[in-house]
Amino acid sequence: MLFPLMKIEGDKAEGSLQEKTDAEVFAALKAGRSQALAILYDRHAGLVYGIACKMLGSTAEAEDLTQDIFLNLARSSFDPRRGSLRTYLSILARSRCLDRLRSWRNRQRSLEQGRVELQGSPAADPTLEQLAQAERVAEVQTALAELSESQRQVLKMAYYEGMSQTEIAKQLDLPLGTVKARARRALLRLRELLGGPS
Amino acid sequence: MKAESVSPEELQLWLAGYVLGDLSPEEAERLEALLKLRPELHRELQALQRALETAYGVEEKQPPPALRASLLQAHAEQAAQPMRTPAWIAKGSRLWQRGLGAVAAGLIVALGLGNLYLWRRLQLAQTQGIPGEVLTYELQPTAENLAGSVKLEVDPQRLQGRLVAQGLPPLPEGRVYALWVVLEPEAPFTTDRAGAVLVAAFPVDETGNRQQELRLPPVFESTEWVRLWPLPKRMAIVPKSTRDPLCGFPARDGLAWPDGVNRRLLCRLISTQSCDPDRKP
Repeated sequence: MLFPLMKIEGDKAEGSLQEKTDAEVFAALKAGRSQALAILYDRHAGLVYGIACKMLGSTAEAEDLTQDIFLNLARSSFDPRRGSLRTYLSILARSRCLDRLRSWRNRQRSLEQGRVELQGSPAADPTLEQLAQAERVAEVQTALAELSESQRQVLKMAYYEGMSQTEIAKQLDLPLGTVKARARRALLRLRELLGGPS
Repeated sequence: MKAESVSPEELQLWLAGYVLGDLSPEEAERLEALLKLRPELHRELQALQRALETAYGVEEKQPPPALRASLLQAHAEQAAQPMRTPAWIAKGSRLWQRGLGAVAAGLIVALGLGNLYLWRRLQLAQTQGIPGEVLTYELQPTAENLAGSVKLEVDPQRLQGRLVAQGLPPLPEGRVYALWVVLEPEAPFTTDRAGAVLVAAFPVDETGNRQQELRLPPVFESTEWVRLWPLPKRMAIVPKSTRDPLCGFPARDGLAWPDGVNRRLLCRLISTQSCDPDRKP
């Protein structure tokens, strides 16, 4: 589920907060409006929880992490003018998951427990779902294969591993501008390959 | 160059940069202006976001409804507390602060065994007639299916405390509850890797009650180091993740332990969940 990412102004009539962009709702949250948290949670809790479930393998841990992230959102360093909230939340969720995994000495057992839980979720039609999943995976694999190795690398480091552009530039020994341009072009290419309505 | 004069290619790069979260301040300013002029660009932003998430296998999964209620309640309680920000710590005017001579921040205490964890609640009630003498921390269950409450009264000047637990789920023989305080990462105290300090371990009776006097760790003298949120992070409260921290405390870490609990025994107790904490050393 995606929502407007930045504010659209010019409309004199004040709509409800529910209709505002993430950036506006986030500003309301910063200003102390509690309704804003509920709205952002409704929009993006599935994203954070989905990532946490997948990585932690435990619904209890995933719930805890999701609550943790949203409860602290108002005090986060997120700047809605410079980036999308969903990307911020994705990276933050992965980072927090990794922190937890690192701190669990017996994480292996936890992961196994989680797998059991996840596998226990009944699908309406397992066969169709698996087919659709396989198709989607194949499509994504094809798209990713169309990117250059360097594009894939930078995009993965930026989005999946949550590294800053500066960190990536340092690690790859590339100018910062090159890293940014490479990541952005990679995303534009993915957008083109994966299609979907604009 | 005016924002609207940007080339199509540059605009695309800005949109991608926004989704990736790497716009420079100048780019952010110009893109913001453009989005006001051309709201249809939001659809392109959404498509880019969708492509990114699809490529990296991001799949949404809706959390249980109870989590939403729990979050909003915790948020409301945070908002209701005057001690929510460091600024408050520095500028607050409560009498007890002057009495302490030290700034007081929040306290997050996690209480747990297995799945049980409690959430900090309205706190800092003055429990005695003299302002500035005692702080009270009240903890409530974080989930609807959990029961009980714990109140911790703290005298920061004398590092004395009193714990009152009521209606907690009774424990099997040989098990105890453990109570932690969570600190800011830079706090100059010895903590476990999760930033937590064990405060006490205690059993409960068959009705889930317990009253116990505590000798508190020195961190309570300077509550500016006590983390405001959001932990319970439940942090660590699952037995598996509490073992190492508890057993890993150095021998002289400045912590004081509850009366009658031997440090070595306590470590073993928590790690194996099979000892009696009231057993004399």
